[in-house]
Amino acid sequence: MSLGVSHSVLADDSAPVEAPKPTSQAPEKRVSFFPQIDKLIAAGTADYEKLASPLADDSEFLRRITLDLTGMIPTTAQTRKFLADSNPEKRAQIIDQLLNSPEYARHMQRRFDVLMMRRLASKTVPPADWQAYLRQSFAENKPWNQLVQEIMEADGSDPKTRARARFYLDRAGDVNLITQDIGRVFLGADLECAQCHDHPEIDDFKMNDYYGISSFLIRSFVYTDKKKKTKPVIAEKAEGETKFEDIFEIRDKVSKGPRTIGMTIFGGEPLEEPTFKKGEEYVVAPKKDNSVRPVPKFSRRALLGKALTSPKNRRFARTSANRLWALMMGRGLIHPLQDDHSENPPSHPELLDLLTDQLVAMNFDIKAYLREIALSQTYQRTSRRTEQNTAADDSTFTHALLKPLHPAQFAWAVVQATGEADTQRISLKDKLTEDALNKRLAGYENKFVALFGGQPGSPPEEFLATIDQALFLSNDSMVMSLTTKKKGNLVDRLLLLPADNPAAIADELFVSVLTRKPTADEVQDVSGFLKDLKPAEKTAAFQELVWALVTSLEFRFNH
Amino acid sequence: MHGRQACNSTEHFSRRNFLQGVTGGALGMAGFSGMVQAESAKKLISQQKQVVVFWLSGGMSQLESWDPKPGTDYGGPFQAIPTSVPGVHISELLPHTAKQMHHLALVRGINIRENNHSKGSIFMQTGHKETPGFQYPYLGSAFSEQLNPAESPLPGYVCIGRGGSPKEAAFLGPRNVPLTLAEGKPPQNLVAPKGLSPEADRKRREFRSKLSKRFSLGRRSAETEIYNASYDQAAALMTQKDIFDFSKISKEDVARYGKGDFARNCLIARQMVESGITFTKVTHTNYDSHSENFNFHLEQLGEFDRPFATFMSDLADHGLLEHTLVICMCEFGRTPKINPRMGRDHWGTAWSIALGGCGIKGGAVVGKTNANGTKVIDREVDGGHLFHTYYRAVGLDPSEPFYHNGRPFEKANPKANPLTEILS
Amino acid sequence: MNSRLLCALVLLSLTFCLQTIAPAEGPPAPPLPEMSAHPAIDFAKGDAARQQKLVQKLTTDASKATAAVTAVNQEIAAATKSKSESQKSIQTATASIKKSQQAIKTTQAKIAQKKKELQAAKKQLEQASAKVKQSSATAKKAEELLKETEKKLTDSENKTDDLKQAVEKAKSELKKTQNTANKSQEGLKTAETKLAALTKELQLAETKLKSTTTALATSEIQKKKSEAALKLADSSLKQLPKKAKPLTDTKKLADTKLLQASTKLTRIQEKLTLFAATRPAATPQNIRLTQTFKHNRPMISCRFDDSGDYIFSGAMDNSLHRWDLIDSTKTTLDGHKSWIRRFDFSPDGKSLITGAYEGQLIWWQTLANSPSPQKTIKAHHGYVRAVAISPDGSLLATGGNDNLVKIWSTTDGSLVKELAGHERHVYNVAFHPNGQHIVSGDLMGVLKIWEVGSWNNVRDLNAGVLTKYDTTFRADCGGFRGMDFGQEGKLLAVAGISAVSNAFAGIGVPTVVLFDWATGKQLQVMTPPGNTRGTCWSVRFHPTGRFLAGAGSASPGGIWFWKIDEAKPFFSFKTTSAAYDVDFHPDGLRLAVSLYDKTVRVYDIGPKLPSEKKKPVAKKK
Repeated sequence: MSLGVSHSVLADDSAPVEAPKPTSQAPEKRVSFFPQIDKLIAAGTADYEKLASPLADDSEFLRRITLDLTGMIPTTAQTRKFLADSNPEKRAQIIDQLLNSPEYARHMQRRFDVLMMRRLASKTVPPADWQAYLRQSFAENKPWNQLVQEIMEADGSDPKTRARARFYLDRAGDVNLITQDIGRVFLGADLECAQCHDHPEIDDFKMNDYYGISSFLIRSFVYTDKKKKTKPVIAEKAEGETKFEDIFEIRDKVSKGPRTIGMTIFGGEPLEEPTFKKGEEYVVAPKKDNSVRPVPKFSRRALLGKALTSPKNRRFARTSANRLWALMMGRGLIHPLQDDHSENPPSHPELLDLLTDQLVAMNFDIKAYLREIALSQTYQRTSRRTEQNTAADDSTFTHALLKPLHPAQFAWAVVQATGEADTQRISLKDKLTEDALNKRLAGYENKFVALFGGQPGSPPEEFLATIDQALFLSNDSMVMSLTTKKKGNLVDRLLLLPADNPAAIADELFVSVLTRKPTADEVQDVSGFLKDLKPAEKTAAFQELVWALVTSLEFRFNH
Repeated sequence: MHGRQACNSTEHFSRRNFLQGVTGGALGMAGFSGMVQAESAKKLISQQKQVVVFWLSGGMSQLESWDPKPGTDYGGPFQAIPTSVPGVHISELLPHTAKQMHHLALVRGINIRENNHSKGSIFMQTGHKETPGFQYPYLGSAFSEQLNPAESPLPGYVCIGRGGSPKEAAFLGPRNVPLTLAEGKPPQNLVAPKGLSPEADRKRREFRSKLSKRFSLGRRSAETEIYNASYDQAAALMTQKDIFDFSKISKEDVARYGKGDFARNCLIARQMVESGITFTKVTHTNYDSHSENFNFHLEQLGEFDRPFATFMSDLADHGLLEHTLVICMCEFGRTPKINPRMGRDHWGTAWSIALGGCGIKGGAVVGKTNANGTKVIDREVDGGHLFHTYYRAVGLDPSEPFYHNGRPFEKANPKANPLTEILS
Repeated sequence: MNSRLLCALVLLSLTFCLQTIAPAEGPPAPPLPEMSAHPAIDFAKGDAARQQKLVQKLTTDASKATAAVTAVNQEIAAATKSKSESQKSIQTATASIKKSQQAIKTTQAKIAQKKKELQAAKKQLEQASAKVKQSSATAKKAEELLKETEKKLTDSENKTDDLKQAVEKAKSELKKTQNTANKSQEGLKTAETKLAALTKELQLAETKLKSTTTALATSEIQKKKSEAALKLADSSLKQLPKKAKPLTDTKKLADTKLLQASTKLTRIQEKLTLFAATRPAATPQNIRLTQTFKHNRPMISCRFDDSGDYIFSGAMDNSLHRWDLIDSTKTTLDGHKSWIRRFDFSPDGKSLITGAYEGQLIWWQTLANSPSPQKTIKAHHGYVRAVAISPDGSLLATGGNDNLVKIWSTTDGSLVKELAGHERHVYNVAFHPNGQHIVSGDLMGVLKIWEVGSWNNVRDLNAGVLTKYDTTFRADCGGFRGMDFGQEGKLLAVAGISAVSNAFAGIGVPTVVLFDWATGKQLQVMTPPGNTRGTCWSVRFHPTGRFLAGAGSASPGGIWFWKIDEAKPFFSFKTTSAAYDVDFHPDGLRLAVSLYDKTVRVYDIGPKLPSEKKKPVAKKK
């Protein structure tokens, strides 16, 4: 599957920018709700207007929205173009343009891959297939609920859709693991404790909630035909119930013995279940020698996707709305994201309600939803705090939050800033597609992910900056090679500029790396840095400057 | 003080508390408050204490090492041999270590009630049973935090061989994340790029921090601090790169320690101690002998014995042992019952570790298992007791909690107590 | 014990036992040829003879046991009898005692009575005598009065009537008193007679009393005696059954043993008959369990000795155990300090050399009643893993964890040669049947071939599939668990584990690798059926060399029979648990495995006997 066909906003800046493809549900057909976002955010904090930081300038906005929607920074040319553009609609335009770029699909694929698979080691499904499936889904803007449903319903038996089953298969069908990740990812609930006992502090997280979800999966298991050596698939038995007993109750000798619960998602009536005569429960009955994959007439797991994403289950919609919000804003309205319970109320309840309703109303159209957020002033404020809001808590959203670049984001920002991406684009010539470029530069991403991406199965939950990372960025030969002169890369471009014009040099440097023009002081600094350089030292000096900018605080964060 | 107890405990935190406890923003701050603590910790001790842990991953068999039961139904084929301490016998698989017994104390009554690798290693390396949703700092990060001077250019925690995850630091922050010398190689990128003069390096870093300072006006946060700090730490480490220069290790030493990765890692560990690294973890893999337990222990302990013994005697001879605590442990022991594959399985119920040096009574033995080693019959202890003991051994008070976001976190389970029998 | 010598004994005992033990078993077997074509026949004969001995022994045991039981039963009878008797005599005694006591009472009463009467009589006597005194006194007075009156009369002249009258009156008065005196005299006489009579009666009564009292005493003694006797009888009646129980048990056991032994004997008869009729051939498919020797530790090695009379087996208890295949008695050979995985017999069968994991070798007398170490030497640093005696019996080759192969003189245990070259633990050594070469194999799957005498390492073979370095485990795993020559040394088979996917759990394929000795060509890599996982702990060629047997662990365990030219077994047999060693009986019709479940099991793979066909033994399959 190639996404190359679709035009890449970042692929080739010389090419005229196409009019953005309409998103699956054209925005004009829908009444925008971003004004309410700002209203409700403001309503959440006294004197919000007084406190709020001003809107970000075009540079800050462009860098932020490009990183948030494509996982890389804009090219030098795009930045210059955008800054020069006087069209008052340019922010809305760039948002749509980015949303429809193949980079968007790739970026969302990365974010949701990590979210759903936690960089777990590949067991039986090649991650590439799974990622391709996700990328395709985001490219065609598949409604989020449908995507989740497809993943929950997949059993891996059909080669065409096998990739979808990675969520189950690479968790080896481990019911507890799957239950917990479903709770965490789709329901904003960390249910781990509820595996053994009702949460003593959080009334909302009960063993019933945990095992209500488990009971959809309890009969499913990973089946492999040992003789035929077929690939593992998810199979299901016609019997089997969850069994659980509160270990606190056992300890306190008040337990009434093991309980069980039918298929429920956070309360509500257990789903109906047909009963069959003994011996008639199966379409394909299991065999003693395990030589066939059993298929029951009634599959519990088949119901999970629908039940999970059903409009009745507001928790799913709310969690999705909150997650997508956090994706853009760097913080959930419910925070942390998997702590959606009465003791951890949203910072802006009405807003979360609005977002939830809207997301459902727009049938989980992710692009359209992100677009609304991106259009809001709340999103577009500068990250620089004002004297009024220095003390303001992050949850007030009086200013944009600093978002540390994710490993892949960081890698792609670096290859773009240093112009390595430009060099590759030039060398690809007419073979240039997002996919082709991605293949060329994937090595950098992998190296960054290896170093910044944490252990398989547990991507870092919070920002880590370790010595070896700093050493890597300071001295690693691969990183350094990015600043060696190559056709069309930044150092190359800088060398072409007149040595006696530090302003121009500073300008190209800052626009390329930090997506902004340098300040007067910065121009000063640059010219100071370059003062009385022998021609022989020029290249080295430029390399050092590029390095300094790329490793600067400003670059490390999406601000 | 609010105990950070295991999930099945009565004092059970709401997830919200957990996460306020550990997520994002607060991380760096933990670092700072931690430093303050490290200062107070240092007041307690006369001189710089150091710690070396030998982590025998997979679970070494106590019956083939510290607590042999020759001739019994579960004893296996190996003999027990006398050691430098009269009356103390260990397995014949550790002849060199036996000669160093006067530097080592044995804890033979461990029962952690865990037979799962990850649960076992968490209990043994954090001193607390696994607590869902929350993580205590590992021993290395905890001691790095408390014993490594805040201003020290050296990393507080170096891990040699496999393992050593950033997660070990938990809320103690990046400053206490293990610096891993995978496969005994020095950290990568310790040397400035070719052609970059120290002067030029300084210049580019100055430019970098100047820019960064400017940016952090109005944007300062724990994260921005950590990021800048990491460059300073990196630069500092580069000035210390000699401690990772293993080319200086003499042929004689290499000969004395013997062949193999583990021998090499022990030499590296010695160099770490000599260079003043606060906490060093040497991992030796893998003891998880569900099959052919005896052949594999012949191999593994064959690798382990001489280098470990030589390391102990070297530290003793160079007077380093007085202020260096050495702990030789794993996640659990192995089943007395021999399975049909001539293997031994996971066994947290009755097993042993060895420790020595700083604060430890050499030759002491505490705890006892029954005749064929199936249960502890005297002085039963778990990871909690051991942590109290480690803390006491290096002169720290485990009852003084960590403070993180102003919240106290126990260093060692208050329900447990130190093994005074082996403390000197 | 050599089988030739047996034949003599056999013919005697056979004819004997055919008549005595097995008359029910139909007509006696046809006369047996003096010398037989098939070794199995000699062994069967040998077995028959020894079985017969056993039967005889057991018969005596049984009769002894029976005698003992009868004896004790008699004792019981006696006790019962004496019990009832003493009970009777107690009754009679009690009765007579009662009677005497009665008599004594009455007699005593009578005596009392008489004594009273006696008193009364005495009083009467006194009164009577008093009366006599009084009356005689009165009579005297009357006489004197008469005399006075008469005197007066005479003195007086005047003889007046008045005087005459007074004399008359005195005269009659005198008469009267004299009468009274006479009367009281009589009264006195009667009183005296009465008294005498009473005294006599009293004396009689008293004598009677004496006699009854003595009677009473005697019967009381009698009673006591009988009671004692009863007690005795009772207690012995309590004790005797206790005494009887074990005896009867012993008897039962002895009887069953005898029965089994006899049946077994008849089996052997059957065999002989069958073998005489048709030349016996090993048929693994016929495998059936014939003997199970239980111990208290897993058994890690086993070999039949050359006489075929014993099975030897090393356990996880530092000892070698010898079981007599006929009478199943166990003898333990103590001397090692660790497990005995390998041992070998001298060709003459007299001596046995064991090697154990503590590094020592010990020489034993194979068939001594209670063998004790004849010679003990420290042979290797670490395990002795392999022990092999040369075909001529002069040399001993051993291998161990010091990576060395060592050659010793079997006669004096002196070191002949030390063969260095292996870089890892030596797992196995074997002499080529022609005695000219030794092959040794190590952990790394390397087979070194050494020339006896020059001791040159003439060539190496490699069974690479039997070893692997597990990168996760960071350890080598594999090596040769078993090694055997077949077809007079044309073939060499080595056993172990291949395709290890997880060294931790020992997940791999039990494997035998077959080499052509001459060319060193690897002929076969033999594995169990399907996707069996485990280790092949031992391999043995069948004496005929036509097929070989591997035994190993494989959930739980198995014995696999491969034809020489096939990679998959022509027959597989599931064992009760992991099998660590296998050996064929020299008769070629039996095999033994030593198992994790603490047993050594002997199986018959010979032709099915008619009796077995009647009621076939359930096959474990």
